[in-house]
Amino acid sequence: MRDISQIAFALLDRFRAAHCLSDIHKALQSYAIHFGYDSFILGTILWSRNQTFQECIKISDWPEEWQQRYQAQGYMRVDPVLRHMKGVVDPFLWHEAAQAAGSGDGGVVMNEARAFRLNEGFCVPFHQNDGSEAAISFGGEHMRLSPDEQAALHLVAIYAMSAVRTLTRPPPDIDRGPTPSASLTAREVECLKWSSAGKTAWEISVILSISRRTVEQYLTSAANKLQTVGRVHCVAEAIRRGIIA
Amino acid sequence: MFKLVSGNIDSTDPSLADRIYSFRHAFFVERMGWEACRKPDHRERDAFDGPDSFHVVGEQHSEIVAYARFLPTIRPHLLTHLYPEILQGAQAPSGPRIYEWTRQAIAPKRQETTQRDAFVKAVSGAIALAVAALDLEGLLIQFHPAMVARLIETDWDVEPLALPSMYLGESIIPVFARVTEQTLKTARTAFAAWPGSKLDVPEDLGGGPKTGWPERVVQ
Repeated sequence: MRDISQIAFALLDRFRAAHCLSDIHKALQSYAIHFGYDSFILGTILWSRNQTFQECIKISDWPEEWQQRYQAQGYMRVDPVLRHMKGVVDPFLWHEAAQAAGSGDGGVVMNEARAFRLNEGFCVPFHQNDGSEAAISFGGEHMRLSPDEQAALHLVAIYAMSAVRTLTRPPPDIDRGPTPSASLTAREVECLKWSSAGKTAWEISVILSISRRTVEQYLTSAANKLQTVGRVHCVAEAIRRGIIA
Repeated sequence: MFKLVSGNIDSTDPSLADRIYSFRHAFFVERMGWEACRKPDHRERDAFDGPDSFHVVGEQHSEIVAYARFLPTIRPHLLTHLYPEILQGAQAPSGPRIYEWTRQAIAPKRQETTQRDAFVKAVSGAIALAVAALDLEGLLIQFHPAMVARLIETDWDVEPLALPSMYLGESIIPVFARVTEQTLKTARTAFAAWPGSKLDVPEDLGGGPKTGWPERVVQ
């Protein structure tokens, strides 16, 4: 039986070989069994920009219904895990954040998560030089991580986040002026993928159970971030940058 | 702005050596609280310092604002003699072209300005260029896991040697960091973004792996 550090190093190799966010997503899914998590989410938060939850997500394995509920209820503002991560540099267990928060609005978030079998979890925070914050959170019904397993998952999170950053950062282009961040959200990437597969905005809205208008907004936002005009150009640029395969 | 100097400055340039150890004491003892390193003469110099080590010094207006130390791995260094347990049984690479990067410091005033990010990247660039100038295979580093992401962001190839563990109450991880073509490209971009950046590599490096180099400036 491989020890947990060998397992972590093998997963790091998968991230190195990743060509797109989906590769990282699949790698994290395939190793879930070794760490006991059922689900995970990875995102970047620019608190100053008042982003919505969906705008923050880069990779999500959370149940769709829980994501929608979390977004609709504005849970980003009261989630004790997000509050706790602002003040710590080291990873922590969800129950530690809940304890630190005490009673209050945050309890609602933790309780509702249980309905989606996200009873326990482990969050790895990242504080960036540019003032943004990022995190990967692993959750599950029965997550019991030994100190070694926490250390291993911490390392996995660091390399997963770095791989996501490398894949989603814009290529250096000194000829252009300052470019807006090309960090596409998970939803924008998803819509682009379906678009590249030939689906119309209406078909994508059915597939994702969101409105057609919302799909068009995601596609327009993605096109703007990639500095492209039109659906075809946007998809081509996304493929060129390795954002979609 | 940046200089790579060999450890034998204690005899060849005692004035610079004195400024370096004084900076280290102010940073690591006074600011970071490393009481075990406190010295009555306020000069932070330990048993690992010696003629075979290197210093990377960043100066502005004759004041040291950035610093790093490279220790040869063919002699006792931190990973073999201070905290070998953090390797958790793994083998760390060592050899004449592998050094240990320690005592990384950036002066507080350089940390508080709005250009902090650009300066930090210039320092990382200076280290990468120093590695290239010394023709090293790579550097051993032991630091907080959060720093791994920062190094990867500046395009270093960072290989973990063991899982993070605790040392004196802080999280620490040993890694082996290599410089690639991309690291050097990013280093040059960082230098371009910080006017006046260059790395002076002197002619006589003393106990390093190469000797008899012409004096050159790396930009």
